[in-house]
Amino acid sequence: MTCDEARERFEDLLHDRLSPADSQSLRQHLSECPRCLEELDAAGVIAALIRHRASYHRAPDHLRQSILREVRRQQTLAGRLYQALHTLWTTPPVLCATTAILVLALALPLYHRWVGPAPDPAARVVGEARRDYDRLLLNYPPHGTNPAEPTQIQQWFQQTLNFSPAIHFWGNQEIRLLRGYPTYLMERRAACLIFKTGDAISTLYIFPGGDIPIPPHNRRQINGYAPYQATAHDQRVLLWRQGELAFLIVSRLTNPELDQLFLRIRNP
Amino acid sequence: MTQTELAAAIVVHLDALHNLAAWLARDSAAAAALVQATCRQAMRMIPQERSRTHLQVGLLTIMWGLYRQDHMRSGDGLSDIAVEHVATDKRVLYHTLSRAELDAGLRQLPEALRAALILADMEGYPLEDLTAIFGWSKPRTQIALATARQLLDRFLQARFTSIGVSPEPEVKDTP
Repeated sequence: MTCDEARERFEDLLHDRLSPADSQSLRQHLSECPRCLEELDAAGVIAALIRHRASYHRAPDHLRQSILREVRRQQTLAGRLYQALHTLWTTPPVLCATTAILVLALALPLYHRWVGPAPDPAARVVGEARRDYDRLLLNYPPHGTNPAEPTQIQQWFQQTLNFSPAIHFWGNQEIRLLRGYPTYLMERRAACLIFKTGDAISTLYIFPGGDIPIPPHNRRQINGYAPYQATAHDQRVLLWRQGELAFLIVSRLTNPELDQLFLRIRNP
Repeated sequence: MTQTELAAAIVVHLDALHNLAAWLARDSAAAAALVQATCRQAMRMIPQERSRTHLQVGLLTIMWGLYRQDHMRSGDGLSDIAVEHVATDKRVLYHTLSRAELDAGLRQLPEALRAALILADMEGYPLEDLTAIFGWSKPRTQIALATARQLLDRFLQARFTSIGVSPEPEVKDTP
């Protein structure tokens, strides 16, 4: 055994952790090496001094009580929370139920966004028209051609629209035509006329809408006609089809006033 | 191991924790604070798979880590210590040392060496546990313990030299 190998075993010898064979071999080396013997002797004296004579600081009672209080507090708060979570994730039925709830919670919004039914075309066109009406009120008075000359509006429509809007009503003393301009609704070209009745603004949109199914419910009966009606806040919307064209009015008129406007536009 | 078992184990090992804390800290209040911080961190950190047998080492590792974090900014200082061979002539007087003198000698050791010596010689931890607690390699731990004992030996002998005590000369048999 070399001196380095002997020193590696000093710790174990000092604390009686050497096997009998190692102990015998180390003692053999020590009997032949006074320097290692001196080193081990010194280490042994110091180790024994510390083990038997140095102060041992036991935990005082107040600290023990304080730790116990802390442990109990941890057990009541974090411990209970942890145990609950632990139970949640280690009990198979609970785990399955929790996982299912999480998957549903994540999947449902995605389903509605990507897989769920798209809003019906009538609702879409009503929504777009209402937003356009709101923009119009925000930017009031609107820009456009001279309202005194419907013929100019018609010419403009003929030049810019790819269809001929069948417009029979160009306003009167009570329902004044303010502006007319071509616009877009549901990504298709549309004619728009703005009427003013008292202080109330109404817009009429005419656009190719033969493919837009008008819902059978929410129909308003007006002198034998039954346009689709939608209401939101103080806005009223009437939507109907005439041949391949769809007509849509957004207005803040009262129902009787709106009925009058509808009849004037609807009747040839 | 559940929180309840962990709590019970902490209470069982409280004396060993407090002993090391007291040998490291400057006063009893600081020692108590170190023990409490260790217990709090143990309740949060000790992983569930840790077996009961390694819990004590885990607790001491946390304590040493906390102490180092707060008090030792630049390593454990082991590499700076060189101990020359110590004369042995006054070692025979060690049985006359008071506990206070021995404690004072221990307090003179660098913290890392003092802590290692307390755990090895007072608490009886094997080298493997010390390597885990202090994060040293096995040879480094052996060197640290040998250095700590030699330093303490030197401090104690210096004390006897300063108070002018010499061992009685050996009485030789006369023919």
